Amino acid sequence: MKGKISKNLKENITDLDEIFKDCNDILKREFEIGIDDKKKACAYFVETAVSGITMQELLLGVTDTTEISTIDDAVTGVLIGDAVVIIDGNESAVRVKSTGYPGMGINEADNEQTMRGSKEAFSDSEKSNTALIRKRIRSTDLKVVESKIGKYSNTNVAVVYMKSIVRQQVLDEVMEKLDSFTVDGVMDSGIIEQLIEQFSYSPFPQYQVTERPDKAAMAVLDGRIVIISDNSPDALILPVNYGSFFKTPDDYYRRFEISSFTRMIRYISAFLAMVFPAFYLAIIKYHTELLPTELALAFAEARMGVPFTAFVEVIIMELSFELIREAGVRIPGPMGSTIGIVGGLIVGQAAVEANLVSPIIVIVVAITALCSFAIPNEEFSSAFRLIKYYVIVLAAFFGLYGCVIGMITVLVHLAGLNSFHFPYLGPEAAGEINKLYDRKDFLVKYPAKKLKFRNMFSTPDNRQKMERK
Amino acid sequence: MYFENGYISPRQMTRLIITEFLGITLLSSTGITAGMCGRDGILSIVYATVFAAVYVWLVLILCGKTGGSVLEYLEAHFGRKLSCTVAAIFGIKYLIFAVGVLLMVGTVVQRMLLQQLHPSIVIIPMAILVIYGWSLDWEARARFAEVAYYFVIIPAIAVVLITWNKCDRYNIVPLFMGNHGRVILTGIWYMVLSAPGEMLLFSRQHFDPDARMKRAVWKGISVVGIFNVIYYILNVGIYGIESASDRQISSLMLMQAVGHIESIMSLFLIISMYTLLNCYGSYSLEMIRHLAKGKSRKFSKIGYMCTIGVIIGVVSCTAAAYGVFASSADDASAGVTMEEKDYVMFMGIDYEGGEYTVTYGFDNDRESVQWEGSTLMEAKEEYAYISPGTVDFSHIKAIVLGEDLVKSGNGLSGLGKFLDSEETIANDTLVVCVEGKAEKYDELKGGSIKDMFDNNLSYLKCEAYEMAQAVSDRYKAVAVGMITKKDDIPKCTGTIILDGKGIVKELDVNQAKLLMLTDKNVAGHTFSTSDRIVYKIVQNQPDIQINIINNETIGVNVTLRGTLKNFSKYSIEKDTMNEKIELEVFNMLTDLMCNSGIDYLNVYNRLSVADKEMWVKYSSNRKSMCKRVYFNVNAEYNISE
Repeated sequence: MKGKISKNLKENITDLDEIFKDCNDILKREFEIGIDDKKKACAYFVETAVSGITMQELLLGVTDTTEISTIDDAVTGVLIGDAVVIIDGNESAVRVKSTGYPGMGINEADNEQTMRGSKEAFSDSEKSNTALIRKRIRSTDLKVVESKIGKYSNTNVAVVYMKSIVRQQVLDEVMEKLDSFTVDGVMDSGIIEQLIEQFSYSPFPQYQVTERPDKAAMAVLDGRIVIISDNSPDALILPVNYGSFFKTPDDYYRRFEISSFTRMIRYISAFLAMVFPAFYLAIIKYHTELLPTELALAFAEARMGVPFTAFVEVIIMELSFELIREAGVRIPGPMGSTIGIVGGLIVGQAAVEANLVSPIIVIVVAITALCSFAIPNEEFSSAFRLIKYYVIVLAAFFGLYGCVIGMITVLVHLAGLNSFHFPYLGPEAAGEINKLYDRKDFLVKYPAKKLKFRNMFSTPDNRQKMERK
Repeated sequence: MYFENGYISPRQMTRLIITEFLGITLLSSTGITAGMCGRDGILSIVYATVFAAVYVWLVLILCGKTGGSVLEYLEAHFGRKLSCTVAAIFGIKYLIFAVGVLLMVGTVVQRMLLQQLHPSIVIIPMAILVIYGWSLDWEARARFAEVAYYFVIIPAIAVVLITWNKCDRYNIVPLFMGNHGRVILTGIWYMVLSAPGEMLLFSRQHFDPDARMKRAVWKGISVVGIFNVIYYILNVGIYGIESASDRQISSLMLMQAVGHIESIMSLFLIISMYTLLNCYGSYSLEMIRHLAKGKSRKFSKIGYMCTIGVIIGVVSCTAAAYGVFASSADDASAGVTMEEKDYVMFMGIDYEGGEYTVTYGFDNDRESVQWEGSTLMEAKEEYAYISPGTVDFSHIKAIVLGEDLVKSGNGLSGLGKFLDSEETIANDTLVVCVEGKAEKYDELKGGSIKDMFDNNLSYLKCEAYEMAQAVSDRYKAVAVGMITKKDDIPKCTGTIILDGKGIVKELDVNQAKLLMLTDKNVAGHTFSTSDRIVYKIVQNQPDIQINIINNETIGVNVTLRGTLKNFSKYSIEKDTMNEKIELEVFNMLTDLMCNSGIDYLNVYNRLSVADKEMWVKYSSNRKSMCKRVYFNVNAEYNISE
């Protein structure tokens, strides 16, 4: 790259034209400014990133501008979406802030719906997203440290945290990890997540992903760190533990009784999402004595004439459901909901009537699916979707003993997992770090008046978050 | 870092101890201590707990002096030879223990969950899982135990709550009847067998032996000890001291008392034993690592894990199977799904001329089938020759015994063997006796008989395990409900008292109730004395005390307390009423004991070890033995009008 900006406008134009050669989306406009002593100037900008309004405001002198002195800064400014104006006779140029590249704007949170609370969701602009958090935390203690990641994409990435609440060791480690790799481009925060996570082979996520600004703001106030990436409507929250994935923002907006109840439902759902088909298989194959007699006879009658073994039946139905789910996500617009009806009702019903599967397995698969949908975090529930097959295979060979082996395997794996050195099985495991206080917001949620202290993620020097005046 | 500092907290230590040692001790403590000390075995467990706590206190004092692992301390102060010797000894010890626990897992799973699979097949997934578990560091092990703790402790408590009401306290007392020195020695031996104490020396670098840690360790040991005492009480209380000490894994029997959900309850034992296996394996790894220190830099942790895993796995499988991957072939129902099973609801058994006639009744749509065989197992196997389905007794409602069977000692003996060997029949399956042939009652399908006894006649219920015990134990008798048909309607007309030789006594319903005032919960029922005074039993609390008189006579003091309601048209004085009841109960017990030789109140099993020797002296002549029992009945009922 070239060096400083020259006083000679033509030289600067020559340099920048060379750099922006074949970049037809980057426009060049030469004009004159001034009334008596007119000077020539030239503006470079990305066509769709800089609106006409910005240029007008520039001429009126009311825009947000920065002075830059090198060609490199000028190029960077243009690529980011700002306008750069070079004036003949000046050794510096002016970088004019614009609204940036076109984005989706602020929409409703589709993937994390709540009964109560804000409906806003992050957009794919890092600036907007940090602003949404700033809107909720109007304090200078809220720090937003921006950096660029991606050799070619130069994607803006912001690390958001509360200076007085965050654990400095965690923050240092996050910064170190963000600086530890070079990649061509970052199209989504998911790429950052995969590049800086510690346990790449674990199906369990070590970051929480959210599209909700209120959730991100609450996480920041808890001493956690939020990473926001440009072009991504999902923010990363870290560190995490097992309990983090079962909490939703409206747990804190509603009364504690209903919040606790729904949270227990989620925990039970997570367990069932992993083991319900395996339990069914184990019981009908090895442990029919556990069923009441009438139920056992009804099950036996329902399975009469089914040509497949119970194990094959379970696998077929589970995979069919995965197919329907995947198709429903990929199919555009209105047809997506139709596929649910076609797949679920017609195919399932037809399969039962053709005696390919028993009606009980349809119920089992449906309940398992509902349980996996009840888990608030999609990435976290995906782990259970995968592990379920492992437990099914064990149950097919070893019955309930196999189910227990599967559950112990998961527990052993989770015991060895951590997120930035915080144990994944927290707050139940290693809860003494915060004097077991985190259990007040774990399986059940205590009333808001009882939650006076922050959780273990925050610095020990600043744990109190509420006190009576 | 603040978490990954290699240290475990006191809370984690408590839960590690409980999770690791609860399963193995519950499985073995009752059988070992009851077998060695009889009823005083409970005292052995208490002593073992106390000794373990003292032992650990000493170990923790030593931990304070070593400052780190004892192996490093020994090497630094006494040389590498000594530390390696210690490491080798304890490494071998923990390897042997690991093999033992793995074999126990195979046995538990095979008995409770997967009867059709050979233990060697069962061991393999557990061995692989244990190797995976060894990849965890100390902190991760502790975190695992912190969470797995709930999956161990909650089912353990659930078993207690479910089986508590089946416990007969008279099976537990009297205590302090045996050799107390033997009791203490048994306590020491059991403590040494199961002590977690010295392992702390090898893991000293992972905790601070301060006051909090000491309290945490004692708390863990105390909880394990308390559970062992409770399980001892339940095992002996429900099954009696003889049966509890006979069985090596008596807690499995206890879980069978909860009915078919024992298979779920037993899962907590598996989780506990996994944690213990993990523990032994981790310590073995530490020893091997110490032995190999400086000699093989390239031998990584994975190498150690795989080596030990292979050793343990091969030894266990070989020991379990006399050949790896052998599978049990004697039960063709391996993994048979439910639509391929024929669920027997009713089993009627008749016995004539040395042959059993077995009637299987199924659900409503199917006709009953009948088979003959010289043994009940043979009759069961014959079914396989005509039916595509596999016979399954897991949902059987009632086992109905024909009149001929209950009069025959040989017939009953075969029945006892069948009930013992057929694992799919739940221990609480109802057993009744009928007048005439059992096959004539097949239209009942068992369900209505079961409902009748469950809802209305619970005090006359005889369960399969009681029948099996009475048939095999020559000192036991059992009361079995008797059903006859009046105008094609089955009716309970009383009870029969039978032992291994057959019927000893037949009692009508009223006589049965009078007899059961001495030991059963008959509240809510009515009975009448011989002069037709009818009472409703509002509350009944019998109490039985036994004492030896002049070293020759066994005095049995039966005290009957509670409340009765007079239902007759005559009013009667309380004292008069109590005298009548005393007389009738006394006559009945004396008649049973002295004339019929029936030890209905289980006097023999209530005796101390020494007194049993006196009883056994007369066992060849039961009548003369029974003449040495003297009953003293005191009725202290209140009357409510």
